[in-house]
Amino acid sequence: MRGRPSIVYGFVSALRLWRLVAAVWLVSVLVFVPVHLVIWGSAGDVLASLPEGGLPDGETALIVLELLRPIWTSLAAAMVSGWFALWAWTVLWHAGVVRWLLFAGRDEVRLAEILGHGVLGWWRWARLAVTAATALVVIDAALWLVLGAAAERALDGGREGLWLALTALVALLGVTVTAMVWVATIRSSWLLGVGDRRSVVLTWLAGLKSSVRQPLQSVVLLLAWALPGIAAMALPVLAGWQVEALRDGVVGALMEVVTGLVGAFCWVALFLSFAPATGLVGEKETTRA
Amino acid sequence: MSFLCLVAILAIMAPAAPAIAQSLDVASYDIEVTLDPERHHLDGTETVTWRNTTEMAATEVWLHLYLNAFASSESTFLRELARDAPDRVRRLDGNWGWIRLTRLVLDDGTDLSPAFHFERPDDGNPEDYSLARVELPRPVLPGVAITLKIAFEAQLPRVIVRTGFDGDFYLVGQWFPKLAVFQGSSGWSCHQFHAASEFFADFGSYRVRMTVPRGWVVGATGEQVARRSVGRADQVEYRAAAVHDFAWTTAPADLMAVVETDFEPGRDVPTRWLEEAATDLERPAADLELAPVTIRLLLPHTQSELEPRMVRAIRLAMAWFGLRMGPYPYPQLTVVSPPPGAGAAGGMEYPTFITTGVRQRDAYPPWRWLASLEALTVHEFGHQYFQGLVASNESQAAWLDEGLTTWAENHCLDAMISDGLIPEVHVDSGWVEERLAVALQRPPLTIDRRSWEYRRLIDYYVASYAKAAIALRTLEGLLGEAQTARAVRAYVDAFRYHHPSGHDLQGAFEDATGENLDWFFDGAVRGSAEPDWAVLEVRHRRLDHATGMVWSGDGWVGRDDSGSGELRDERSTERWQVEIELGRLGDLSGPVEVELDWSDGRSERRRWDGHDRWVRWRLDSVSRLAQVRIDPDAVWALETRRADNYWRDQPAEDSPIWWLGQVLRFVGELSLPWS
Repeated sequence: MRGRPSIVYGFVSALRLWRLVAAVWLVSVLVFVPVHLVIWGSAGDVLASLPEGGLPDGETALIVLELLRPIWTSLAAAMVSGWFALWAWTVLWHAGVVRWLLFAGRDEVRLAEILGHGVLGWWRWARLAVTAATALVVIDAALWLVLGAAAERALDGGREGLWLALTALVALLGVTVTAMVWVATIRSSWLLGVGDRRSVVLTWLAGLKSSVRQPLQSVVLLLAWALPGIAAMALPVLAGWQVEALRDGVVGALMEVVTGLVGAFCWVALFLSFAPATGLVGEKETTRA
Repeated sequence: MSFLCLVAILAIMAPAAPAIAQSLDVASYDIEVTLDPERHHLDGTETVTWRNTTEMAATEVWLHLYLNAFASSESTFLRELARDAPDRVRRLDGNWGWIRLTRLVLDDGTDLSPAFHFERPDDGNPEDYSLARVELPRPVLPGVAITLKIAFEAQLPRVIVRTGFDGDFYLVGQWFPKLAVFQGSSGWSCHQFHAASEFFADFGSYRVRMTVPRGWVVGATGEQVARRSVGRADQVEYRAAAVHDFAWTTAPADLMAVVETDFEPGRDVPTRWLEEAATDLERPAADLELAPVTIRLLLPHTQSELEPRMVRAIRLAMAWFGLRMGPYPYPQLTVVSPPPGAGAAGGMEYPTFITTGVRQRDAYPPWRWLASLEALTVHEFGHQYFQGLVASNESQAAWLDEGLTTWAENHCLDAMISDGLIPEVHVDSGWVEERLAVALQRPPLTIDRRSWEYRRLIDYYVASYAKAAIALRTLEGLLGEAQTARAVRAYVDAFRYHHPSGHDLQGAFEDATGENLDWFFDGAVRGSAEPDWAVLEVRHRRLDHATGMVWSGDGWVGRDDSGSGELRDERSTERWQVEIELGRLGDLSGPVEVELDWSDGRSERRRWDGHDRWVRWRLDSVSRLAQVRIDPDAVWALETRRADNYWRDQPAEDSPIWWLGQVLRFVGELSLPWS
């Protein structure tokens, strides 16, 4: 694969795939509907009956515990199934976008066609995602077990300077590893499509290699889309926290929809920004990495 | 403690001096012990003088041999501990602990070894050797004393549950053959050593000479009176009077530092605390005068940064407890912060000697913002009163010392934080934690029961610490803070150097309030009843929309045709009849406040006696009822099911449901890009 990741390409492609952006947002809302139903169904009335002017100290925690305790198994099941559905869906549209751009990128954008490609490639991209998740857990766990434990020992031994240095190092490495695994997974998603690769592990490692070769570009691209994405998701919470009127009603709902769409746009654009500049159907030159 | 100090204690307690003098000198020990740090081994001799202060003759004595609880995995203690906390047993790692008597004679030379038998009254476990009975050749008559001469050797375990070694650090607790408590017609009060139990012993004086490696630091119950070189070792002598146990610690000087400081009332007692205590206790401030105390803090050199915070916590605890519970009567307090690795030695209390537990990270945010260091220090110091001075039976009624101490600890911390005395602490959630702990336990726990009879260790902790504390908090809410302060102070004053029961604490509350509190103690303490109030239903009926006939004085007329301008005028004013139905779902009944907030801004409080299972109030009003709050001040801290205590006419706009929804949405969307 040749070519460099591009923010502009990601932006333009995400605009072109606006139907996909809307679908990404919609699914992210729908998969957690069961969670909302479980909570609203069992605790909605009680929570809506809580008095104006606040509760005595510490009572909110007590009431939340009281309400969630009888439903925690169904709530946990709803959360886990929601996350699984979201993961499966993300794998699907990642696979779909890669395969569609490779095989039919010049055509008119049809969401069903993208999703159809996603269904066909889902199993391969899912294995890639599991590989990435495993790598992330193993590396982060190793970091904490080795450096985290060393930091604890340093603290217990009274070597505060070493403790501070190790703690800062663990935090920095933790963030770096997470970011690199994230970028490597996106890059390898594309590699899995453009190359005739069979091993998802080797593909993921190739993605990691290309991320390490272009670390600055990888991180800049990631931050360029992830920061506004996270900000968009956090905006309704922060706004509602500061301005009570924004919590409910038309304005609040509208804000949630808009910020949700902006967030989904960022995630789609982030993924598309790492698309190979060459190797896609419709580009001037077609090469294989 | 010196003789002068004993005199000072007696002077403080002058009105009841004869009884106290007798209770202060029941079981006294003269011990000489040598520590072999290579083998973690103790060799000792002990002379015990026991005086029968009851009306009954004693034909035997019972001895606790607590270290045998760590002799094998089959001891009662380790079996119970392994059931709920197997990792703590694994930490022993083959370093078992035990004690063996090599000589047991009366002072006239009569050998008592043949009369020595291990006993297992609690569970009959044949592999438990933590309790022994010794038949005496002749009865000990009331008022008579006997002296036992004992030689023993003991192996210290790797530090577990308040005793043992870790590297060169030693915390030596429950280490010597120790007499149980003779209670006359009730016989000897003694139990095997259980995973969920602490101690019970008589007051006496201690003279203990410990031989440790040359130059090692030593801290112990009482005060050091001598230190001399003996060959390549040091012999350190401590004395303590009016105490019921003796523990000590030793470690190389390059591991543990010793900080000598003091509690100086003129400097360390906040003026506000003095004024509040005087008001609550209805005593002149002069009566609350406290004495200076020497503080000896032993801590690892690596924790030196935390030393000021530890010292501050100790001083403030001494001030708060001194004002509220009476002066700390001993001249010295020794505080030990165990080094890393010896955490199991932390969080324990012995007379005039406590162990805390801090981590170096407590010096840094975010741990620095938590009150864990202060909470543990205050709690362990609180035990100097509950059970150090007010020596209730920790095996049979652990709630009396743990519950009262936890209750007092939370109040002390509240005062420290609200008065800005520990400014770096931003998080204090003591009461909330206690209530959450109780809420998580089902079925409801009984507070007053023998400590090893709980189903799980966690049940013992929750019942004895958290639930007992919030039961007292509930009583305090119902009776008032000042009444409660006076009741607790009266309890402490009456039972210093004695062995009170739960009924004695109830009696102190009843004397202070003039009320019979059986309903509370029988239900919430000796039983497992819990309060649970609920708003069952609220109905509105519009009176000014009534239809049908109305009695005009001499016959029925239609409402619209009555010709009464007065009725028509009333129809133009909104009038409501509101029916409020409240229920008592829990088994504990008592008076409860109910707040009614009306939509026109009026607010009123009513009291329901709570005797019946439900009550209906029918009220006429010119406006609708906006909301109902049962127990709006959370006086019934014992009530942990609070969601149905509230009702409101219009759904809340600012409810936790919005936050829940946002958190779920954020978490959901955050996971979106991860595949």
